[in-house]
Amino acid sequence: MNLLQAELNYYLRSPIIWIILALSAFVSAWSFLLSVEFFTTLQVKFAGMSDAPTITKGIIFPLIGAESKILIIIVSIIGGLSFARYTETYSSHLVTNSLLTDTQIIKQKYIAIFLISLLFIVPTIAAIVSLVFISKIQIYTISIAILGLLLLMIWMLAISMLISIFVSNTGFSILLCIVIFMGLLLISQSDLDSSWGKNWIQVFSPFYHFKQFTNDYLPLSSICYFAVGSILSLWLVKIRLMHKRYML
Amino acid sequence: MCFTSRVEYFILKPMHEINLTIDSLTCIYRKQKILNEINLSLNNPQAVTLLGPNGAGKSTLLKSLAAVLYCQSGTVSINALDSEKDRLKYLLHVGYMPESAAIMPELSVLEQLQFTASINQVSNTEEDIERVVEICQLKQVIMKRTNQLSLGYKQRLNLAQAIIHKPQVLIMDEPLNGLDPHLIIEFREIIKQMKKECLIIMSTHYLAEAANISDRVLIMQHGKLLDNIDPSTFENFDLEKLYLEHTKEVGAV
Repeated sequence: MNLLQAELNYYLRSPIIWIILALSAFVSAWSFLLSVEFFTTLQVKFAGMSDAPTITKGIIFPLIGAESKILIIIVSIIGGLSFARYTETYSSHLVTNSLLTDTQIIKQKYIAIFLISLLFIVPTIAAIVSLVFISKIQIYTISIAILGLLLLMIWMLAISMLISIFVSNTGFSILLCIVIFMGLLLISQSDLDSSWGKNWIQVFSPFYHFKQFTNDYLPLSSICYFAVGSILSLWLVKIRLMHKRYML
Repeated sequence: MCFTSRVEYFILKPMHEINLTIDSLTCIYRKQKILNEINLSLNNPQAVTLLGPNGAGKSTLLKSLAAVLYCQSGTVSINALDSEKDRLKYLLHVGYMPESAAIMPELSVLEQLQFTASINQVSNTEEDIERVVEICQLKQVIMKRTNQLSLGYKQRLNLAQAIIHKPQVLIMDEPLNGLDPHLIIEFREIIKQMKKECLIIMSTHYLAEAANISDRVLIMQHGKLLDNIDPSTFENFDLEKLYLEHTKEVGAV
């Protein structure tokens, strides 16, 4: 049993993961059905409009948007537990003092939390894919939005791992992740854009960059934002892991 | 308990000379010297006990030896392998048993051992798990979750994890804490068997056990090594008297 397997075991054996999975699946399904109902109710009105919203914009984008908000809770719990629980159970040195290098530790732990988080967005992706068979949707546009959702998740997981290594209490670690991500979400929802020119603080929010993926093209600057942010966070985790060995 | 039947399992690595050297080790925490210019050289096989009042720096010294902690100045090395620069090679030789058992509550005892074996790159996993299960008598609880174990079994598992990769230097931080007399006797026998083959460095507050087990006793206070005693050189070795003489100036910190 390697570190990756042990990590997956930990998460899959935690009742909280299954409770959250059930709740998030329920919320996602509810959002999906609401979008479908809303869209079908307005079908008659759409018929007379020249630029009526498509299924992609009327059903799928709101669903992906809702999923990005649900991710705040999911990622905070999964990522927030990653290192903090070791410190809490005095078992951190078991891993950090083994023959694994710091890079291997971070890599295996990160893959584990990524796979577990993926569990939560797979049902949404499955719901979207199912629409392909019953309607005409813009696959390219949707693929870009799903890519945005995945990049947002990758970025948030790296940040939550970084928060987790600085905190020795799992509850506090999760709470801190939620507060930070909620703050970033609020920043992205500021409406100052149009009337006062560009609101630069929005650019720091991952949710602002996620929104850029709901267009028909690949936003390269946002891809760079997510890639650089994730790599930088994981690099800081490595530095912190090394630094911890010098702390009494 | 029949320890003689378990003797064959104690064989660790093919014995070769091990020299552990501590050179001017100084650890500072919030402007206070937790370890102050520690110099020491130890060879295997023997059991060394570290004594001292609370806050003397025993755990910090043991963590430094186990490469869990690096100090601001000074070096720790095994056969010229530096604990910091040659970290992974150094760790191959060292087993560390911390004061609180480092266990993952969601795993069973067997899974925990498989996990420890994997991250320590043990080649014959099954064979080595069998060996440590036998030494530490974990057979009864092998399928139990680690969070359901009693303190005694947690300490056995803690020891099993420390020796699974057959280290030649075994570092134990207060291994007898909280154990009942039967378990203390069992741990004493295990240590006596293991000290034939490896260098054991342990801290304890049980002076009688220290006198019984040790080939060498180190007394620490205020981060300094006050004395390095070889009990065999004394005609009537009275560790309690010696300890109190060295540490009479201070109580617990």
